[in-house]
Amino acid sequence: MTFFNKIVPSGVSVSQSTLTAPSSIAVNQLMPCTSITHTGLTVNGSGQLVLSSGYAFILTGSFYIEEAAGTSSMEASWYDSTNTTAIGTRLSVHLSTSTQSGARGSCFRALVIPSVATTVEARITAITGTLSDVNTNTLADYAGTAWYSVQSFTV
Amino acid sequence: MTYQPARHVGPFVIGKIDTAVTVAPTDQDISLDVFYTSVGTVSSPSVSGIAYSDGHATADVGLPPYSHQSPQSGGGFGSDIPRSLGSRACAGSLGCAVYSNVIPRFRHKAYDTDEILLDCHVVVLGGS
Repeated sequence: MTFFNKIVPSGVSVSQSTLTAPSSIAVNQLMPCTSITHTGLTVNGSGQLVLSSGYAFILTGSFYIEEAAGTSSMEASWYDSTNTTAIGTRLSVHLSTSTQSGARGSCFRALVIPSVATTVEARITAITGTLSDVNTNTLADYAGTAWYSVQSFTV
Repeated sequence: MTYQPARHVGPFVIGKIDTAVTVAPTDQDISLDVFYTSVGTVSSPSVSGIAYSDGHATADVGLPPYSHQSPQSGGGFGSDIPRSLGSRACAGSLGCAVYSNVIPRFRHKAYDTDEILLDCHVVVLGGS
């Protein structure tokens, strides 16, 4: 008989939920995170993540866009609202000229180790062309779902 | 009864489809063929943690394949669709879910008649 002992790092928490549509499709608008229950983190009424000190957070997000017509694109990243600076990697998704097409990309990520309570959000950082929808799939559910995830460790 | 020393498989598991699969256009779990850990391959591990999935679909009936996938039915779904006609979403995004003591698998729905899945995989990072 062989016993397997899977090592799990101490103090690890993981969560996953959805990214929702911004109040308007424009640069610097945030894509609200739906609420999760996660140690060391709360989601405020605006859909921002409030991160407590004492943890390291790996934030990952994946958005979805649709275009009204013509070539368009969108870029997004995690944004530290407390320190007013973009953080982590950006995701840029492009659509070629086509009416009512949708697009996904890989994901945007950030590592945050806050020394004080810090508010972060999934923010639109650039738009070209005209988008008809962000994180709202009007085509069919084969386009998937916009999501975000949090993995945290005690530090 | 002989007891072997405990094997420390490390805080991650990668499950992968190695044999091409033809799927019908219904929501379904696809079993993964092989599981990799830091101590080599293991058989049907039960894991907890954050899981990310990535798919690869190819057409077998001449139509652009389009599908969505996730590590499990309640997770966030990525899509695997080539850039093609209007009214079609485009390719290449990850799925994401939280596992709680489950064997990793690939949740998939094809919207074409048949699609062949190869190299689809799930990465699980240990957590609670």
